[in-house]
Amino acid sequence: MVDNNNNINWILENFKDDNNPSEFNLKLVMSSSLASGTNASTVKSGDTFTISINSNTLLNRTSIGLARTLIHEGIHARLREFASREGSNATSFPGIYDYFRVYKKNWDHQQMADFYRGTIAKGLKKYDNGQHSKQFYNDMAWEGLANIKDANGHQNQIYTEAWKKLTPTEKTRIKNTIINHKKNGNKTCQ
Amino acid sequence: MKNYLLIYILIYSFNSYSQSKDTIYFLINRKDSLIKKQIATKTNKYEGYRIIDEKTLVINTKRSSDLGGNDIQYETFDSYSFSFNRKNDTIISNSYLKTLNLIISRKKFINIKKKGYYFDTSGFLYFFIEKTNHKNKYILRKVYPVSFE
Repeated sequence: MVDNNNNINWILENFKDDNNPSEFNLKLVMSSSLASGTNASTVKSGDTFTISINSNTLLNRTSIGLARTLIHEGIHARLREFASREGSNATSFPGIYDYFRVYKKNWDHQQMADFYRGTIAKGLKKYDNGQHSKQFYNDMAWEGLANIKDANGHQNQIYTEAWKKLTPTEKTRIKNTIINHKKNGNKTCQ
Repeated sequence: MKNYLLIYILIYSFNSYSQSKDTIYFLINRKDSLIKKQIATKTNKYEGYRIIDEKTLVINTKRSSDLGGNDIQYETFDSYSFSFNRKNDTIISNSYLKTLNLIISRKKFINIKKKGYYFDTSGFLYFFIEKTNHKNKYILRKVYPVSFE
């Protein structure tokens, strides 16, 4: 997932399709025009996915928080790349098509909350050389996957189905882990 | 005279000590249409506030209705989201309210951010205060900054 220098190259690796050239480009850019509360976004335009990182908040973000944002956006890009491939359909990607059928425009956040928190936690642990507990990385993976903007526009925000399944104690622990880390976490990138 | 001065200093010091500089109290103006409140419904339990900054334009993204479709980007006002759990609300009196160092205008609240403290990463504790239907009673509500990805 990350190389020996802790570079998160796996995002780029995911855009390789065996020896076939990818149908899509992936761009990573810094943006000063994202909303203040938006850490990053992944936008598809034609054959390019652009991951924009909010440059305004960069100095205040922790190293692990930023790594988590990159992994989170990388998963968005990867899932959407599957969905956007020429000839992509419910037979080739049944999971994605089923999530889209049920959750419409919120499909990838819901799918990520259900199935990719473990991937995020694993990536964070590697990036951080396992300096924290497994619980810490699992809790950190929840950021951006508990409450999400309702892309379908019915409400401003909704809770993901995965978050709803947690007990109040678990929710409190996760929130506290994330808040404490934002306040006290290392803000120097490795 | 010296005694009065000492008592004043002690009261002032105690008040400053009990109100940490890391705690922000914001009195919600119900008439301010740029403070949006989301209340839980049967199907969506999320509750929170959205404070809109009409002086700052940002780029937002709207997803396509097609699974593999292109996103649409557009300009909109910046906004700051805060979630809350009403089970943690407390009721305070008018006299207690007067002891708090309140922010009463949205613009001043937004200025926290403009001073370089991003709501989400500042480490501040935030409490929003709302008037109740009972005279002299207010809701003191702990809120949490929300970030999106």
